[in-house]
Amino acid sequence: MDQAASGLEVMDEILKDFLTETGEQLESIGAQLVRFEQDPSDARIISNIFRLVHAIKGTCGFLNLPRLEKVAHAAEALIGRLRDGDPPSGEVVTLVLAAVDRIKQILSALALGAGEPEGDDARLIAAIEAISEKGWGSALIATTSAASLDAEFGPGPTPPERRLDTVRVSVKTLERMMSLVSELVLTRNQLADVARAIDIEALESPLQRLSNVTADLQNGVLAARMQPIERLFANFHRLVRDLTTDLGKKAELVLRGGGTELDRQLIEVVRDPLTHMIRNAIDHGIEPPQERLALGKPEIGVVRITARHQAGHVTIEVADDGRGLDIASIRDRAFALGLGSRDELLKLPEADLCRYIFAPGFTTAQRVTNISGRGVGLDIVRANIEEIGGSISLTSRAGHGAKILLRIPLTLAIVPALIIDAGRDRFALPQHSVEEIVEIDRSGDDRLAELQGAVVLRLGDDVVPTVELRRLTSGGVNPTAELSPVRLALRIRAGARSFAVLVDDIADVQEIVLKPLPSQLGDLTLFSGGTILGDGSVVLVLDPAGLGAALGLPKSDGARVTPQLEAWTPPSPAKVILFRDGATAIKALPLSPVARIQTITAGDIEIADGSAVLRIQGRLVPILRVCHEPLPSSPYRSLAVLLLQEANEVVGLAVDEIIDIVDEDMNVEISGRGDGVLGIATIRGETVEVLDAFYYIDAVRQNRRPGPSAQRRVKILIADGSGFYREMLGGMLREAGHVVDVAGSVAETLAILTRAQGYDALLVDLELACKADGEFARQINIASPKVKPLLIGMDDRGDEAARTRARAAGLADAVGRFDRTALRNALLRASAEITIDGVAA
Amino acid sequence: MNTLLATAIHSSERHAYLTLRSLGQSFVLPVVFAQSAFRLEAFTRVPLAPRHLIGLANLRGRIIPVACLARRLEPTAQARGSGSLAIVVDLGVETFALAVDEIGDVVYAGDMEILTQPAQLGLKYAGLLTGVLQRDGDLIPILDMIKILEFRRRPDAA
Repeated sequence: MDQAASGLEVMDEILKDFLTETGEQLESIGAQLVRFEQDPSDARIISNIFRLVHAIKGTCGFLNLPRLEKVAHAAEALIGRLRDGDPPSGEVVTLVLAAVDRIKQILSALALGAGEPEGDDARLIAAIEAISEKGWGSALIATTSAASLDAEFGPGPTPPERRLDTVRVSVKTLERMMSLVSELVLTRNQLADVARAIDIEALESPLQRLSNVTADLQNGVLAARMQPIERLFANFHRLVRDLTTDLGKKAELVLRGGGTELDRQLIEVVRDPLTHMIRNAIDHGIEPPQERLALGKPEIGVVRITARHQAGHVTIEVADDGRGLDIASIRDRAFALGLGSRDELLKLPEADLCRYIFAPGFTTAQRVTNISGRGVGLDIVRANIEEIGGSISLTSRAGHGAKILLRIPLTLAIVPALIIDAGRDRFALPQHSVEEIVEIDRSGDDRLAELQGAVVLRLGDDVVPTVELRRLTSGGVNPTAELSPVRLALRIRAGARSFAVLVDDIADVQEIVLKPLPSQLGDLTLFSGGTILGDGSVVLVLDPAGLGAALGLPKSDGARVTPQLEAWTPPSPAKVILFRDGATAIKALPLSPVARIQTITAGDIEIADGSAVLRIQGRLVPILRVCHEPLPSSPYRSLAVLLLQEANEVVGLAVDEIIDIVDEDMNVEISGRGDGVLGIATIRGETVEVLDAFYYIDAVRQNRRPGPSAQRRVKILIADGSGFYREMLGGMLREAGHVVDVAGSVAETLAILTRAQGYDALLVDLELACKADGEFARQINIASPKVKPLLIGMDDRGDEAARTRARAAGLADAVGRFDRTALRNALLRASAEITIDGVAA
Repeated sequence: MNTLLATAIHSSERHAYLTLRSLGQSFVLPVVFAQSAFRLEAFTRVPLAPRHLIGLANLRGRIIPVACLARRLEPTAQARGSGSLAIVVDLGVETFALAVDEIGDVVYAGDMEILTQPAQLGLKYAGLLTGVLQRDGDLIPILDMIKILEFRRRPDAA
C-alpha cells in the first residue's frame, strides 16, 4: 500500500512537471500564435507549435490523459500538413488556434488538480479530421466559413485561470541589473573612502542611508536571480525510478525544502553532484528488498534530500537508510592505494576513514556497474563543489545509512576575497580557497626548503609545493630577481590539491564583484576575472585552480590512482611503478607505457611454440620475464602482469609483486647495459633498477618481424632539464643505434653545438624551447650555421596543441616523450633530410 | 568583422577618419570605431599578457584592456604609461582603449583617395593596415583595428 501511495505521488510529481513545462512552452508560444495568425506560412513558428503539440501528445499516453491525447493527436496531424508545406487557409488557421486553445483549457483544468475535465471534443476533432483528410478547400470547408468555425470553436468560456503574479525577465536583464548594482556598490565604497578622508559630519547620515539602500538593492537583485531548488528536484523522481528498476531495488525519494532558493548559476552546478549522490545511495547504500526484510527494515528504502538556508549558505543533505559505508572495504582500499599502513588505518577514526572516499580513484564497488563504481566519482564531486566555494562532508552509521552534506554559497557573483600584494602587483584571491595563512621569515625560515629546483613548505607533517607569486606573475622572465620581502604563505586548496603561495602582504579583505576578463585574455589561466576596488583601481582575481596548474600540479582526473591523498608532486615528475621480481633489487618502470596491470596465477600462462603467452580478451599476449628469467614452476604462484603497450604492440611483463606507484623525479645514474636495464636510481632512499619498457616491446616486435631496422643512424642531441628523461631517452636511442649526446640546459646545448657540429636532430624539452619567444630556435641556428639540426620538441602529450606550440617556437615538430613511434618517424624524417642534403650537395 | 571594415571603407562617398600620432608618425582609424578619448590615469598591468597589452583600465565600471599602439607596431618600443592619451575603440563585441601619443582632427576622404593594397606599397606595418589615405601628397596609413586588437599570447606564458 505504501508503494501504491508513493506511486501516485510519483505520478503527481510527473504531472506537475509536465504542467509546468507545457505551461511555460504554451506561454512562450502565445506570441508566436499571434504571428502565426498574421503569417501562417512562417515555417519556424509552425515547427515550434508542432513540436509542442507532439510533446504533449507523447506525454499524455504515459499519464493517462485520453481527452488531451485525442485533441493533441488531431492537432498534430493538421499542423504536420502545414509543416510539410501545404498552404494554410483561414479555416486551417482557425482550427489550429482552436485546438491549441482547447489544449490550454484542458491543461489549466488539470492544473487546478481535478484531473482531466469533462468535455466533448468530438466536433472539433471531426472538423480537423475532415479538413486534413478531405484536403484543403474541400466541400465541407466550402460550406463552413471561417467565421462559423470561429463561432463554434473560438475561445469560448475559459475556466478560471490561475492569476499570474510573476513576469518573465530575461537572464540578460538580470545580469545587467546585477552589474549595475555592482557598480553602485563600488561607487558607494569609493564615496565612503572619500568621506573618511575628509571627515565631513554632514555626509555621514546620507552616506549611511545610501549604504543601507545599496545593500537592500543588492539583496533584492540577488533574490531575483534566485530560483527554488525544486527545479532541480523535478527530475530526481524519474532518476530514482529508473535506478531502482535497473538494480532490482525498492526505494522512495523524499524531498524537503524544495522552496529553498539558490542562485540560478549554482543550481546548474549542483545538478551533477546531486545526481551522483543519489546514484551512489541507491547503488551502494540501499540493500535489495529481501536483505532489508531480513534485517527487519522496511522493504522500501528511503533516500531523503533536504535543502535549507543556513547563514549565507544553502545546505543540501542526501541521506539514505541503507547499509552505510563499508568501513572494512574502505580500509582495504585505502591500504591498496597506499594511503597508509594497516596499523595506521586501523587506528584512524571511522569519520576520518570515510573522508577517503573523496580521494581520487577511490571506489569500493566489488564490481563495476554502469550505475556507479567507475572510480570517476566523489573526488570529482568534491572538486566541483569546492570550486564554487562550497564544502562536502559525510557521516555514516553501519546498518543505518549514510548522509552526505553539501554546503554551498548562495551566490557566486559577490565573493569575499583577500587583496594581496606581490612585487609591484596587487591581486584578489577568493577567500574560500585559502585554508591557512602562515607568517614566514624569508631570510631564515627553516620551513621553506628548496628541493630539486622546487620550493616546498613544511607545515607540521605536510610538505606542500610552494610558489612565489611574484615569480609566477613575472612569467619566469627574471628568475634572478632579488629576494622579495615575502612575509606570508597562503595555503590554498584547489580541488584535491593543496599548495602554498608566497606573497608580500595582505592589504585588505573585501567583498569583490567578479567581472569577466576581456575575451582576448581568456587564455590566461592564472586569473579567473577582474574586479574594481573601492579606490576605482582594477585588480586581477587569481584562480586557485590556475595557480595549481601553473605549479605543474596535475588536475585530479579521478580515474588515475594517486598514491597519497595529498601526494606532493614536484613540478615535472615521472610516474614510476615499483615492483619486486626475484631476490634482486627493487625494479622500476616508467608508468606511461604501462597500459594496465593484471593479477594472474602462473598457470594462466600458456606455452605455445616455445613462447609464453597469456590470453587476454581473446588476444594472445606474449609474456616476458625480467632479464629472461624462467617462469615460476608452481602454477599457483600469483604474478602481476604489466601490460606494456606501444602502438599496436602489447607485451606482458610478468613480475612477482607490485610494490607501489610513485611520482618521482629520478636521477638515473648508470645507464646502458643494453639488456633492458636503463640504469640505477634512488627512489625514497632505496636503490632501484630502472627498466626500459621498450626493450621488451622491441624484443617481441623483432621476433615477429625479423631483420634489423632499416633506419639510418642519426646524430642526436637531447636537451632536457630532467636527468631522468635525458638518460632514459638517451639509452633508448643509443640502443637503436643512434649517436646521442645530452645537454641539461640551453647554455649547455649551445656550448655543445658550437663545439661539435653536425647534429642531425635536436630533441628538446618543449618547455625549454618555448621560453623566450622563439629565441631558442634562433640561437640554435646561429650556433650551428652549417648543418641545421631538425628541431623536435618533446612534452608529455605530443598532441596537436604541443605541435602548434612547437611550430610557433620555431621547431619542426613535437612528439610525446614516450611516444616511440612518433619519435621514430620524426627521426626518419631527420635521416631522410640528410639524404636529400647529400643529394643536393 | 573584416568585411565590416571593408564595407565601411568602400561604400558611399566620403568617410570620416580620426588622425592620431604614434612613434612620430601619423595614422588614421575609421571614426565609426572611435567612441571617445580619455587620458589614462591608473591602469593595472596584466602579468603574462602580450607585450602590447599594457594593462586593464576602469572605464566607468567596465574593465577594458589597454593596448599600446607604439608597442603593437614596434614590440620593443617604450610602452605609453599613465598620463598618455587613449582612444576608446568599440568594435561592437569588443571595447578597448588604444594608447597613442596624440589625437588629431577628423578628416574626410572619398573612395578615390584610399589605396586598399598597403602590402603592395611595401609598407612596414602593412599587416596592421587596411589601406592608405592619400592627402595633399601625404600618405597616411589606415589602421586595421581588428588586427591591432588581436592579442596573441606570448608562448612562454603557459
